[in-house]
Amino acid sequence: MAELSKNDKAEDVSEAEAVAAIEAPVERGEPILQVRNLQKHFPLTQGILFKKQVGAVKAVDGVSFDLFQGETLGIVGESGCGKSTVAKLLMSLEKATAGEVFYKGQDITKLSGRALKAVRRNIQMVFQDPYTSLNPRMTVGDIIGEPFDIHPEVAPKGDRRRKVQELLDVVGLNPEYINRYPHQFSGGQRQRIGIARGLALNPEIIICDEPVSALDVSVQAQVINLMEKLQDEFNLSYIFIAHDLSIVRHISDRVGVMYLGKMAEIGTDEQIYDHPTHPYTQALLSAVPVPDPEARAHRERIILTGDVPSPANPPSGCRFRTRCWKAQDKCATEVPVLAIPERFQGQDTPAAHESACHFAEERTVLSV
Amino acid sequence: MSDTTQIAEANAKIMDGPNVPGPETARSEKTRSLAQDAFRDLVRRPMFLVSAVLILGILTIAAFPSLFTSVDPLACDLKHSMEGPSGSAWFGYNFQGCDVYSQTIYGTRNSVIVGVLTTAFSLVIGGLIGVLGGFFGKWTDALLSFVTNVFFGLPLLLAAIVILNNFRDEKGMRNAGVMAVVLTLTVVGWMSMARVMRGAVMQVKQADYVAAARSLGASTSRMMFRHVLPNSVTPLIVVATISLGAVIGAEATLSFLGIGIRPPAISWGVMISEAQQRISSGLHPLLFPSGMLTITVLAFIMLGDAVRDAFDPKLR
Amino acid sequence: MTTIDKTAAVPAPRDGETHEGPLLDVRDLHVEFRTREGVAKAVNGVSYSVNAGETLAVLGESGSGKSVTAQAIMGILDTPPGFVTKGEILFRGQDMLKMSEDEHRKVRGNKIAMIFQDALSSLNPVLSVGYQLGEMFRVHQGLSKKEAKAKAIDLMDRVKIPAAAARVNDYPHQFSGGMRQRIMIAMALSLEPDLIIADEPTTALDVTVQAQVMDLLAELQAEYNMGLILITHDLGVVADVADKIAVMYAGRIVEQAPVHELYKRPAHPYTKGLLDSIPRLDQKGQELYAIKGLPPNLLKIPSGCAFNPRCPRAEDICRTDVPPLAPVTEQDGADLPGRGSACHFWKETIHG
Repeated sequence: MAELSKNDKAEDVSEAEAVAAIEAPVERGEPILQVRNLQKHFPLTQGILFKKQVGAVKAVDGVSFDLFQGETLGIVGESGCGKSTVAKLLMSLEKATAGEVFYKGQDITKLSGRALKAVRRNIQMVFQDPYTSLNPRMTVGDIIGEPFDIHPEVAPKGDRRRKVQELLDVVGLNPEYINRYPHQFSGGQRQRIGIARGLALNPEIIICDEPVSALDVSVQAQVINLMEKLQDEFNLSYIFIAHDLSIVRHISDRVGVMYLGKMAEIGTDEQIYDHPTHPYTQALLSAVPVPDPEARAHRERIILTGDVPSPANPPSGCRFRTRCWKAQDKCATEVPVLAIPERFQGQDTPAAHESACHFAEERTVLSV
Repeated sequence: MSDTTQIAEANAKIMDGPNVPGPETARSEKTRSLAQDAFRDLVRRPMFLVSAVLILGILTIAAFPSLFTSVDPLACDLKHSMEGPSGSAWFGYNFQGCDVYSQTIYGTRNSVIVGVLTTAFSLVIGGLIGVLGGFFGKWTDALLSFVTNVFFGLPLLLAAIVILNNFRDEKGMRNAGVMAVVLTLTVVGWMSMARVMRGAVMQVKQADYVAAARSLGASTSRMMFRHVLPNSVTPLIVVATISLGAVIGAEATLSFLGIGIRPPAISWGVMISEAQQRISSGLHPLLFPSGMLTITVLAFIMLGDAVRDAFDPKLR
Repeated sequence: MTTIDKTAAVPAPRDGETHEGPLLDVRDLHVEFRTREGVAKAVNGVSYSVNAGETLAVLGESGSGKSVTAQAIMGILDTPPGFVTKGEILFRGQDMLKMSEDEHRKVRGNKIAMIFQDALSSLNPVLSVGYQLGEMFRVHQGLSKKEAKAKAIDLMDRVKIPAAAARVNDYPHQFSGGMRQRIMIAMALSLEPDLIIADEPTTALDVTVQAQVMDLLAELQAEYNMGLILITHDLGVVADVADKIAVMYAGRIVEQAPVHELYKRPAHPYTKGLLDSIPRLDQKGQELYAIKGLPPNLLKIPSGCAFNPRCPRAEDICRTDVPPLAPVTEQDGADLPGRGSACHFWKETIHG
């Protein structure tokens, strides 16, 4: 936790190099974040003073994806699939058990000190719960101004109040609210304050962990629109984590579907929503409530049996096999890799995208 | 941030008109922090007002006893021994012929000093250990929790007797001064503060705003002092207020047992101890200091309750 | 907290079968909360009815009064600060608000059951699921322990909990969220109530499990011919199961319609705004329509139509006159049964 600058000379040099690399710009459409085989296992221990590990919850178990500059990558999945842990790992709020996260070529899971602080300036987060993500004892001005206290080089001291008011204005709040406390605002307004704080350092990437799921329906749309506007204006790349597939489709350019700590399928929004090849994605899509009884009647519904197994003791082979209607012996023994399925390889079809299923095939679930 | 105004204008069209009052904003247009809210809530509680007035009175007595009596508490005259309350001596005289009222007034100071100092020391020690354990977790917490539990294991009264027995005055008599009592009660009393603090810190540490500060690159000390501490200190203050009364009671107990403050120093405990030896000759030397003690302890406990309710209505 | 009260000794006979008209009829209900900051008018004249075998969805955002209405029906309103100031709640023609506490409890225990959002906190963590399910039968019907357990297993089977016989002695925390919600449903069903009130029953569940639970509810409802009041904020969930919908805003019903009608042609600007503001899975639009402003403060409900500060159609009359829930008709004046809208400009909204 403590970020003391090391005195070691050799490290100073490599740290300076890392900082330089981090500050270099990335072209639009180039990968800005590359996640490779990321793992996070939470040990299950017994005993109080002398702890003994008796197992591990494999919250994230080998996840890989790229985030391109300027795009929104949606990550969907049910509770317990590990999507929020991925967010924490990308933010270096948790230490990865294994795997790498390359930000502009630098593996941020290995960084510390000055270089990590430089990364943090550029990767920010918007939290799910607007009621716990703002310190109740600080004024809005202090909350949004805190990034400048931590990174004083971004804004000179005399300039900060004006900057904070600008940020309030940008997120659609009255700049005169600067001296108010969080409990004087509604949920939607608080989420705007959280967004303003995330924007303060002019970051390149914002990781949004369920940013609207705690808000009222009529306020969700306001916040989503705001986030889209800010993306254009500040040239941001988003990782948008949510369980609501409709919102993810609306905001995302590409979508990854997670199940029990692994990525089941990933592709452009059209590939995933209109041409899903993984049975889990198909089931998930078919289960989404559509606010239109007419369209609904035409839709095929796949109702999965059972619940998500415990990540402490996941099924062997393919993790989805216990709920899958296609499961065969192979699924219990061989872990399917996330790749373009063989049958679609070399074909120019939207079904040719990465899917971790032995028996991937296209199935249209949504009536188009 | 070049075109911020334009965006803001665009936003205003589709989103919150900033002037539309939200459910919470409309309640009051003025800025109020949580502490201010709690205070406003507090001053409307009769329990708080009563206890606050009592405590103010007690503190004034402790600070300026001569304002309340012109009689020297140590000017005793055996000819008055065990005289009952009268116009000249409201609470009567004790066995030694000392004025009970004057002694009760002058005894307040020692009792209050013990209460306040012990609580303050326990607050600092317990608070510090609780914060460190709760914030850093892992082996720090394991070690500090272990130490806390060891102290919890000490039987309070036995430990106090053992420690205080070692304080002697110049003549080699067993005699503990006020500070010795304070230190002893601190040694046996800080643990519950540490427990409360540790629990509060561990809970607050999980809050998203701490994660947000960390992801901004905040230093450990910033997270601790700016975010965790201000949000976890309330339960500690509540416990401290309630335990202040209990400490004053404990001091009286020790004096009563003859191992705390000893005569000629005056405290309520000393007075009660002396009076009970002559209980057959008259109740009044026992009644008045006991009454003051009860009122003081009660006042602090009531204050603690009121503070807790104001700061955390959910705990009620 | 359990859904069903355990005081009534014997289930009352279904004496109300002869009653004509709706199973539950709420008329002009007013509820207010007297707080230190002032009086919050949570429910301001709500009327709705449910028939046996029918599903009414009550749709609204936080603070719309949808849950408070249900609490008033169940008689579980926190008093104080909550008070029913006006209105009638007729269950089979009898006003529950005028019943004695004892009578009320009997109706509540045997005829109306409630399912809550958070199943974990509604079940007692230290008692096995089988014991809690069997309790109803032991207390209300005087069955033996063994019989009660058999009944509990039967109920668990009925709500499709796999391996019911093996899991009957498990504790609530050993079940997943979806399974716990099934146990809640089983509990609500145990005394075969006439009406079930489900308050956000699937909100805490994952989508794949949501579908299972909603299907189960619908199936059981048909089987027992129960009335169902489904309280939710999710326009998607209700589309599938509801027969009719009442949309609430600031403690009033602003629109009422059969389910298909409402989605096809909303007659209130609020409903229309809500429908437009949710992204659709099968179409990717550019920008979402967003209702401007914030939900109203119940301490200071705007004069006239409560929605007027956020409404794109608002005119002077909206700021002064409260629009009544008026019947909605076709353009040519033909009747649209079951439809109503509390908007001065419903004609323009639905036809314009």
